[in-house]
Amino acid sequence: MKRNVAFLLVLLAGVGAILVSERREQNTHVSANAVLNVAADVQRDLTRAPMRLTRLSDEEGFASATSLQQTISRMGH
Amino acid sequence: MLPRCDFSRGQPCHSGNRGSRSYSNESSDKCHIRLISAEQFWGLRIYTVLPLALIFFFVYSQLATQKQAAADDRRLHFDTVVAYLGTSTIVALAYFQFPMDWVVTAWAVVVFSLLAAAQLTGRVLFLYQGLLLSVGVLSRGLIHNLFGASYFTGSDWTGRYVVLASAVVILFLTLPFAFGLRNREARNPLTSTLSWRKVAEIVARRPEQLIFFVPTILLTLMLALKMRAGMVTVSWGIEGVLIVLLALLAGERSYRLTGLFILLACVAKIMLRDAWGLAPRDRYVTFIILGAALLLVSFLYTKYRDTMRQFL
Repeated sequence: MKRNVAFLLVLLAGVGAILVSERREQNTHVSANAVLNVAADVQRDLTRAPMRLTRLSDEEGFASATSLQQTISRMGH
Repeated sequence: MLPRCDFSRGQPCHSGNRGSRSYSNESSDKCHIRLISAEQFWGLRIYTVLPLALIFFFVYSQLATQKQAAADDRRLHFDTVVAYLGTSTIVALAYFQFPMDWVVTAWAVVVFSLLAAAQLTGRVLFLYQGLLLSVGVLSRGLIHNLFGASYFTGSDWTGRYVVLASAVVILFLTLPFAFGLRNREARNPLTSTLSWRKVAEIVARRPEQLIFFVPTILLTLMLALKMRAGMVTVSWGIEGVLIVLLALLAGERSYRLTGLFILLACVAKIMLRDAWGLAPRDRYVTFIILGAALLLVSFLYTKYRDTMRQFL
């Protein structure tokens, strides 16, 4: 009895999902992009960890920005 | 046949879901910590993926019975594979459905549910899954929320504390289930001869250790990284006292040693750093609160000396 009820619930959920998705007509592009997204997120987080541990002071940040600006303007001329 | 599952991030970030993101501007970072509306939450992803998880768990419940017809499948561990697929589906759904910073909290809720399921159904498989996912919560919390956190999400109260603290609280709330499962698992003898399975069994016999240390590590590091420099020692002192109180309630030696270690770390930090480097106001507050914390712990040790001896 319990098993039949559980089966009916699962069946109803599945059929309900099909009906709703057919009614809404949202086409989903199936690809491996989701896995790539996960890999990209993890890579991004991993690369940010060292930055978090070696933060620059405001003075150092301004100094490197000024240096970059000077280099770029020299390259422009 | 079920509709195709949508694990892609199709919607733009301003809708609340995790859509296409640019990592460099403030608005995109801020939207990661905003909760999504109910209408967006119960969208395509939920109703295409959730039935799959239901099907996996239903099949698992049928295979895990003691009936002869399922005996061959059990020998090949199909029941375990299907149960792991069901949980993985929910974990993946939580990863894609919630804003990035809140994934850790969603996973903590799954850990809570898995340990509750293990306790209620008596199936040790859910305990293994819960412990495995608690390691996932630790990794995610460390890599994304603490060390990978953006300057922008870390600038307000929600981004600094609420997100990770909610995961920490949920994991601490899981402890009663972990203690219940410890009492049950401790009665079972070790069965595995393989070294990695033996390690897994030993960890599963003491689930309260992992479920305690994961949120404690996250909380300690969160306080160290997110608190104002002058208040780190104070917050660690309060954490140490709370952990010693928890140790007294739970009667657990490792918890008590952890609380004492944190308090000793506070004393060392005060002597080596805070006394020389803090602003006067922060220094007074730190000394007063840590002094009070140490006195309180000393009082508790004296009052509950007999209880302490029992779990030495």
